[in-house]
Amino acid sequence: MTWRAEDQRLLERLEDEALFEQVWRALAGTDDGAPHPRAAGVLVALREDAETRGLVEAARRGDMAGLLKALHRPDPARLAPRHAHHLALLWDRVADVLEPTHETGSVLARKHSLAMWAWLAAEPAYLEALAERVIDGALPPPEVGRAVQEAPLASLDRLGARALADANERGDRGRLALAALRLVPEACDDAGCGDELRRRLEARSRRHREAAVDAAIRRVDDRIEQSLIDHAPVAELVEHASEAAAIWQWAGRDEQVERFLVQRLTPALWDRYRERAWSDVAALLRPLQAPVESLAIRIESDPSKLAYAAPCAQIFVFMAEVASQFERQLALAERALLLCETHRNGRLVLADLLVERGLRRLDRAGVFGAGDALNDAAADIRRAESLFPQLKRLPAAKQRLKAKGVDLDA
Amino acid sequence: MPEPTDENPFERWGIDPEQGPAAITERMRELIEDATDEATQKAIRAAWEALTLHPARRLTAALGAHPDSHGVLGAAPPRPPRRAPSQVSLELRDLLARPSALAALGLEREAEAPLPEPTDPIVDPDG
Repeated sequence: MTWRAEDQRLLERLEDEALFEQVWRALAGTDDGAPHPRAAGVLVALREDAETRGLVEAARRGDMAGLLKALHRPDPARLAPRHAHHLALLWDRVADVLEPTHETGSVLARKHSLAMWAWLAAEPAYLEALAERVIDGALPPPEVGRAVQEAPLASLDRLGARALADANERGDRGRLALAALRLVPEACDDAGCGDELRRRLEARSRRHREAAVDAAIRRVDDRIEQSLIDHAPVAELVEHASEAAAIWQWAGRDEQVERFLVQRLTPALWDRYRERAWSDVAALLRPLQAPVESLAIRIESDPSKLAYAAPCAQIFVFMAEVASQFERQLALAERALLLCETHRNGRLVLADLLVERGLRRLDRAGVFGAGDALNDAAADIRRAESLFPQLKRLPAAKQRLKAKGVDLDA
Repeated sequence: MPEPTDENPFERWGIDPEQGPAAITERMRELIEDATDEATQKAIRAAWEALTLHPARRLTAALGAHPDSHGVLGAAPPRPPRRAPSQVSLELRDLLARPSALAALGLEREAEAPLPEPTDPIVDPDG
């Protein structure tokens, strides 16, 4: 009996399917949810490439490490389109199976899948050929072209739809979809994307994230609006602010929510501030602390976010005003000016606190007040004057300093 | 948009996406003929409609299905050649155990003993 080429192909298919069962178990940690046996085709390209053939042979002998690494980190320069297609689907499947139990692994698997779709987006010839065979002339060429262009981005659309669907309930699937969408820049790196494609993918990812976050905060926004119209008790606003902070966590500490919190609650904070309702101000600030701190770090590390510096600084000023410890008040006021050097209220509050510290230092300096305490007090009052020369307490403070022998106007 | 595999009609019904609408129809016809219950027939018909009447949906499903990287299976291997009938004619005595085998089993005496009378459980119930 002769051994024919098709017999060899059948043997290889069966051997690949047997090995793929082990590969799936290694990737997903379970036999459940395995993809269609055709997914074993992911081994074909590896077997046919001289550089990776040994990995498949080693895996058959029980050493899976090299093969798994090749599946995790395929070299974009050596990828074949069909192999990338297999990998895109395989990793998406792994992500689905891991989702309920291994969130980090699931998100990373999703990123691998996105990287492969991104790689395919840069290889339209494969998708065009596939589309021609599948559509078989049933659509006009421009429509086929559009479908081919959109196809690799569809995985982003699917994640966006999941995030949007879960926005109101802040569900886990939506949260993980948003986490995966945030990894699009990394996926582009892994795929070796060019600038134009990267911009396209990142813009699509951003649009989906914004849509989901918008949907999540819309309801809170409406409630805040209603509470403000009703002059509702602060506890109601605190509840809404806490919900917005929960959305911030759900959305992976999203900047959009940070900006929303700052912009939306600042007027309410001003109202309570003018009423000198300090405990209300403190209560309303509590849920804002972590998001505002996060926004401040973004602003400090990215000059393009300068537009948000002043509103964010104002929140730190509020925090400084109601902090219970003097040193904490000073630190918060300093933080406000670090964010926005020209912030009027920040300068006023810090100047006032510096005068206060200067006077306390003068008190400690004693009758013959000399030495470090006097010098430190002079430095504080001098800085206060430079920050806010019109400060009402400033002349009296300078007078006291003069009485100790330090004339700042000399 | 890639759908989860178990919902992908190409994978669920074992169709190669690249074979085109004619192959889809042919395969679906086979599946409907083989289907034993109405619910399955209905599901197959719905999948056929989705895949053949909506080309864009067909492309979406094709992108969500693993390509067949192993290629078509081809024809089954040829049957082994039929053996020619044996030229040796067997007789009843060829079926008897050889003395050497009986000796090895220690059954020489039993082999030489006369055969017992045939019994008929209907005629002789004690037999």
